[in-house]
Amino acid sequence: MYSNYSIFDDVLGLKNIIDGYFNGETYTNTRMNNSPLINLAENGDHVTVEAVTPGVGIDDINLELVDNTLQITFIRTKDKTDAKCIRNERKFGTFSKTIRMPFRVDPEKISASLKNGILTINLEKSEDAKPKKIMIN
Amino acid sequence: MNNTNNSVVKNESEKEFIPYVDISETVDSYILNADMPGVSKENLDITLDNNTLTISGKVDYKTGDSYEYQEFELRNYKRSFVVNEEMNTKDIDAKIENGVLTLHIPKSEKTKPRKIEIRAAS
Repeated sequence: MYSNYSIFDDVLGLKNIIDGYFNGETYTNTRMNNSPLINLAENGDHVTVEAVTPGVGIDDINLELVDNTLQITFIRTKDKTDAKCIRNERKFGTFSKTIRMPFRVDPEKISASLKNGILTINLEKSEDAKPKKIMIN
Repeated sequence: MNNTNNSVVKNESEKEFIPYVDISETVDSYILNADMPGVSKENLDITLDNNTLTISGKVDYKTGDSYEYQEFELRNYKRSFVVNEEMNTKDIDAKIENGVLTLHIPKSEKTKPRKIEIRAAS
């Protein structure tokens, strides 16, 4: 399979990570350009996924559950005009990420909320993925 | 508008993040957009000291104790800019929506383009 992998990219990537640390960068992702950064917490039968989505409204976010993977897709439209630009650090466009859930989740019990640019999704383990006690007659 | 964050490296816990900022200029104003996810209107602080404009925001989002998988963390934000006489700092308009701060800084009267009237020769 064709690959343009070069070990020097990894070495330079490390330099970027170190530079980013000392510049106090917030949420860069050098490798995957247009995917939101997420955190995943697992607590018993519950899974919480948090994603950084600044400048995105509820209507612009599309959440999909396919089998046991969760797909987050959103479009961030430019909130500025193409006037004379002095500083340009933010990114716009379509962002998407597919997250594999640690277990099968109940599609009826998913709740999501968006507050101050942070998307929180709560998911629950589906009934047929929970352990069942088998009675012996 | 220069970035004036020359602070020495602080402790890991008290280190603030520098928010990503876009600044653009129109005919009669400067517009500053800053990404500050996790900051609400109540926890946002914009101060103007002499000619330094500082935006700082406290994150009030409660994160979980431990993550199975973690790509980001939320910390307070702080960034300072130098403003000059071209800007009318009295009428700065600020709003925050979905974690994006928008500052509207009008230009002062003397730097705004103005039309020069031509008097008819009498």
